[in-house]
Amino acid sequence: MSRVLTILVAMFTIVFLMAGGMASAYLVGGLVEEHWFTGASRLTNVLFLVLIFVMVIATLLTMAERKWSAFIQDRMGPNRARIALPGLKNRSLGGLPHILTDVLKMLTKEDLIPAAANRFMFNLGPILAFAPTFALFAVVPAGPSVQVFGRNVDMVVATPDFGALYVLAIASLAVYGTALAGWASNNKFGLLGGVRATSQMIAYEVALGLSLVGIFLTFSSVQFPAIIGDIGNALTGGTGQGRYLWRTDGAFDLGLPAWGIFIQPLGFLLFFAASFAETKRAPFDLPEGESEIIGYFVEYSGMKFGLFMISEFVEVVVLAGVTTAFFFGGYHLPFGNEWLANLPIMQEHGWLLGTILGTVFWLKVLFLIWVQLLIRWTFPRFRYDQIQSLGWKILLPLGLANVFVTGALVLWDPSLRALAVLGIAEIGILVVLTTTTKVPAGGAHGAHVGHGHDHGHAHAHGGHGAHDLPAHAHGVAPASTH
Amino acid sequence: MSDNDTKKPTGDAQPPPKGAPTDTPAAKIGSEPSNPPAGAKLDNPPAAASGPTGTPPPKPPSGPPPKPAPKNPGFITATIDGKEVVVKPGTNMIEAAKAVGSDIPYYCYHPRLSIAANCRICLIEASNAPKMVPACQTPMAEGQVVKTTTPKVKEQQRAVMEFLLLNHPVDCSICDQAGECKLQDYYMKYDYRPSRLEGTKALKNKRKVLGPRVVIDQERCIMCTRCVRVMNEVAKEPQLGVFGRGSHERIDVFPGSELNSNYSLNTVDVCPVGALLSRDFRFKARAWFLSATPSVCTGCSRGCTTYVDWMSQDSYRYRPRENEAINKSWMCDEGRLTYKYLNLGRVLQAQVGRRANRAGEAVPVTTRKEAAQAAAKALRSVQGSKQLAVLASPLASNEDLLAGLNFAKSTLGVSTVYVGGRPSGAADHFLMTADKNPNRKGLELIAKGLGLKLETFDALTTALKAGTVKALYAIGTEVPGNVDAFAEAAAQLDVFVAQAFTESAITAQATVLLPASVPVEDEGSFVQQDGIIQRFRKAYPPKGDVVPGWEWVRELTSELGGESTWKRAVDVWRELAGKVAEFAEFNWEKASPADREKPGINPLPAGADGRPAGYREFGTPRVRGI
Amino acid sequence: MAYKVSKDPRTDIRERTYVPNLLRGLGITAKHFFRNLFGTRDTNTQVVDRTGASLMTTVAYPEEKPIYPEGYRGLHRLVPREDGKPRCVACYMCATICPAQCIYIEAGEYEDEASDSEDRVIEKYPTQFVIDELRCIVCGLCVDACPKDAIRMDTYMHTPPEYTRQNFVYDIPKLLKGAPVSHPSDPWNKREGSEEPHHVHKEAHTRIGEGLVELKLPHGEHGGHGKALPAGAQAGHQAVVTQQGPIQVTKFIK
Ligand code: SF4
Ligand code: SF4
Ligand code: SF4
Ligand code: SF4
Ligand code: FES
Repeated sequence: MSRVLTILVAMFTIVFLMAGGMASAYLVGGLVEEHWFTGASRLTNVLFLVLIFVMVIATLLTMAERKWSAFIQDRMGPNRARIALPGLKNRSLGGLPHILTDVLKMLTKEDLIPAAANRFMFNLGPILAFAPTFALFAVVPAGPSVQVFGRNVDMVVATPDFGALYVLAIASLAVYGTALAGWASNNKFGLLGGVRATSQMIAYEVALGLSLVGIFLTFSSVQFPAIIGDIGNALTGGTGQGRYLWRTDGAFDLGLPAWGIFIQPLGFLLFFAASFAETKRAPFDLPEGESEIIGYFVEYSGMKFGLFMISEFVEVVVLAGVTTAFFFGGYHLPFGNEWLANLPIMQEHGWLLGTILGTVFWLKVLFLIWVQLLIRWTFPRFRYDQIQSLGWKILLPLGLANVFVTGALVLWDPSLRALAVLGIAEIGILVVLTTTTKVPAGGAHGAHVGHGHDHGHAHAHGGHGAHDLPAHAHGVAPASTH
Repeated sequence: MSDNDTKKPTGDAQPPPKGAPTDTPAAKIGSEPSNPPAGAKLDNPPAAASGPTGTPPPKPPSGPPPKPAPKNPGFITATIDGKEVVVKPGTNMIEAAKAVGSDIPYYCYHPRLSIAANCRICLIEASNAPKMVPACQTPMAEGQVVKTTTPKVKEQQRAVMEFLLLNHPVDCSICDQAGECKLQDYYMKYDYRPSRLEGTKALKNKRKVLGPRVVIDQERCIMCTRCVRVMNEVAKEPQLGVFGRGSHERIDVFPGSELNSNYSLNTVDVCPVGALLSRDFRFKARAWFLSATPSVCTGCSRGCTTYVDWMSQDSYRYRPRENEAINKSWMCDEGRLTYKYLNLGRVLQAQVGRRANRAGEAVPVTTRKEAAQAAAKALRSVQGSKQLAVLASPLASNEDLLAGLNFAKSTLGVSTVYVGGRPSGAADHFLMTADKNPNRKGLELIAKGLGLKLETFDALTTALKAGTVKALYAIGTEVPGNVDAFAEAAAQLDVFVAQAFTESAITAQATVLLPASVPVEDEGSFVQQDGIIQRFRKAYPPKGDVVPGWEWVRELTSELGGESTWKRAVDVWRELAGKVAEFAEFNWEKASPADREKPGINPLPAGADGRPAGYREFGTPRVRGI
Repeated sequence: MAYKVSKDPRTDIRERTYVPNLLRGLGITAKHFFRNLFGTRDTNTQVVDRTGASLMTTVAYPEEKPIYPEGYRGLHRLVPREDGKPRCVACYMCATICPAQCIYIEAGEYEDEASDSEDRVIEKYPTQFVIDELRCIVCGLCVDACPKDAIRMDTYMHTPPEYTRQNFVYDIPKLLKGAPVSHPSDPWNKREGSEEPHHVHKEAHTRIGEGLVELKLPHGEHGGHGKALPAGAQAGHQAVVTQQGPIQVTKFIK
């Protein structure tokens, strides 16, 4: 029981810390807006969002990855580094001191540069890999725009018109670092890793872009603030993902929010898979492939290797942020959004609303990070040809189909409800498929329903595909009975 | 402690010298046949006899048999375990059975001692006796049929073993005899049952010091009286006796006296169990760790044939090796303990410059090559000069002397050689001689063969005093005179190149000191006082930087521009022995049993390099007191 | 990839569409994650006996130590006598049998006049007894070989780590530990010194039955004196008739 309490306390501490972080971000933003110049809050946002939130989370992730993977694998995880402070009773503190020791190790290790390597390029590699991942987060809003001290504070670094295109553009820049590192090391394995990274990047870049087109169509924008949308109030309904497709009447709003996951579940799957491939993490970690080629960073040591390492974790955070913004309603609550925003105290103290919603955003990010790590420790690495055929033969056609279906449905029903029905149906099929197992008779029905899903969304309402292959499905059932 | 009475004759059969003792056991047991077949020895009946014959001899008829006509006139023909055996009259059953490969166990019997027949383990069934007869005591009779493996015999052997072990402490774990103990061997072979004794065992003295070199554990004694007989008949100094009766019977010295004969350690050899033990060897090594190599005792000019028992790079003891011509199965105590110089006080490092002049300073490491070059340089300056003298030690082997003296004559150009060696000591009534050098005869023969004149050591001292000798090349640094006086004289020398194996005041004065090997570290040969040439074998590689003397000569020869390609001692012999007429008939290669002949006692199987366990961590094993 | 695999007739829609089975896999890992995150770890050192929500099988080594099973061959010890000296008599049996050649012994002799009566009875003892635990292959042959019950591996402890190789070379002070052991057959239980006892003539030590000790037989229950056992009740036994009646003696078959 004490273990449960400890964990809960730790979780609440994290939530509390994040809330504190957001509160200070808003308050400092308001102060600088007031005292310096309009737009100064964007600068402090760089500090708070990118340098504090992303960086701290990424740093902690180095530890969390090890600890969580240990839990997944029934191990205890790192716990030997201890701090000999009297109050700590020599406890392992969940392995946190290991971060410190890691840093010490990385910083004190010898920095080797192979004699045959191109020194300039070799040094440039990690920087090129690291910088773009940071820059990515610049366009992701972590909280609503609110009034603080009478000034408008946006919880975002930049809101360019090309919003999501910036993400796509910068994300593909990161591959330069990888390819460069592999090439500049003058090492066969490094080069192989770099080449793998490049071709993988090209294969998935297309699917990545296509998977987002559905979202762009749905919300008619490529800008993050527009996609996330505003919270509605008494006068106007919400926009973007802040609106409800169906909602109850009354002060407390309850309904189906127009989140990307509901109206674009296929788009979400495609995007998540493609962006996973972009981050080069398992099961798409071919460029690293520790067991075959050590990867593009084989010649790197010390903090340069650390840069690759940390940029990978930063990518995880950024990917979680972008996914949240596109598919999980950004900083919106799933319900009670408008009610909360319209409370008088919230109206009065805008930063309070910002803090709450910002914390919600970061919680969603944390959840997605956890999901990513879960995936990374569940699935084995793909074979290289599988990677390519997954990208070109599955994700790309599915993405195209998604674009057409979404376009058609948006044209047919601009209220997005038709899209939502399709999305809910898709999710339902997935849930049914996942929760049922192969049973000779009963399970077969679910299987048929799912088959329609597999064949694409022309058969929008899954059940129609059922008579495609009945003999087939019945024929196989006995063989696989458990 | 050795079991050398069971040894097969070694390859050292030499023509017996004129004055060699002739009281062979055969003389005691029976008369010599008038025409013994060539090569027949006591335990070596004619070859035809040992082969199994297709037709077993007819069973002797019951009743008092008529004396059958001998099948082989002059010999006894009988049957042992179904095999026909032809032996000289008077041969006892044990030896006869040995000839056809039947092993009759025995404790009290020793081929070179009188027969006591008191242990009773050799009882066997013979066709002409109503009861079992002791094989050690009974000579073979014509037409006799002897059976050594019948159930009756086996039961008798088992019963004897049980009685012998009844009061035996069986503390093999602290018994030095363990591993070469006949009680152990026969228990495994003939008994192998648990004791049925229910009472307590008789307690006797476990550790009684009998004399300066021997200690007895009376509990372990099986009362075979071999030790008493050895002292009476071989050493002819009756110092041991049997005291008490029954369970309290024990071996002891007579009251007020002690076992101080110079042959007391032979009792340890003959004792079949761990009752009599050498105080020198006590607890130093387990017998099964030791390897035995045929060697020759260097204690005196008798040159007793020995085994040297060694482990790692240390010698642990000498044991007499059977040699009819020289020492039979015996050795004197004094010679037996001379093995110590093989281990301790050795010159292990080559050295250039007098060590006496730099006492306390760190000795610079000199390689063999540097030393040889320095020696050659020093000798070149006095080559052919009248001021150069050569000192040869009669402790060196024939090969070292052949090489060294030939070098002295042809390269250094000397015509006289001074003779060094250990000073003379006491002789005794049996084996030990007054001349304590093993190879004086060899030195004389070689000098004669090479045409060198031998001068006494006193002549050298005189010459040194007179100052006519300014340079000295010494093969061995033992001197018969006062060591310190000679060292003082040697300090005046301009050049003093010495091959030495033992540190002394003299080696400290050497301008170039060349560490030479001792007999166990290389092979070679000695000529004992009666002119018998004996090989000794190499037991282990030389310690430290030591190389054999002839190898130093080879180095010096090539440094001085000569040519020499000896690889082994035998090469020296082949090249130079022809100059010595007396060496002509000696077959060097065949002259001694192969290395490491010691059945049952071999280096550890796991450590085929012969190292004791745990050796690596401790460097050279530190053996107490050697 | 999907095309090829999905043609396998044994697969069904869940496998062919991948995602459901991937999700199920995620479910399994998530279940482990949460059980281990919230569950209290049972610190029972025998992993198989662990209960509780946490599935961790780790034994957190320095704090928790697994209990070694019965008969575990652990670190050697030299068994002390009652007076604290080693039982070992430097017989070299262990050094002889040791396949790793890691035992180094030097034997010494107790002085005849040693004050301690036990020492006077023993005569021989190890002045050096060294085991190189790094070379040891923990085969236990030395324990089997020892005729004096002087070396045992019953410490239930493995060789602890050290910083230098030399520290693994255990000498007598490091090896001599544990409970002392004494047997009725030990010489110091039988006599006072190594010399002949004075009362020897009065003691009819060879009279049958005197000083009878319990016979240690393979089948312990048959060992009692005076118990009339049917002769030859068991194969391989023969009855030895003593004053106390027949006693079963194991027959050694050669
Ligand atoms: S004499 Fe032989 S049997 Fe007796 S204790 Fe010694 S080795 Fe063992
Ligand atoms: S001491 Fe040895 S040789 Fe002498 S009687 Fe006893 S057992 Fe025989
Ligand atoms: S356990 Fe085996 S290897 Fe280790 S000391 Fe004993 S005999 Fe040698
Ligand atoms: S076997 Fe036993 S008594 Fe013998 S040396 Fe080894 S530990 Fe000592
Ligand atoms: S050997 Fe014949 S009685 Fe001893």
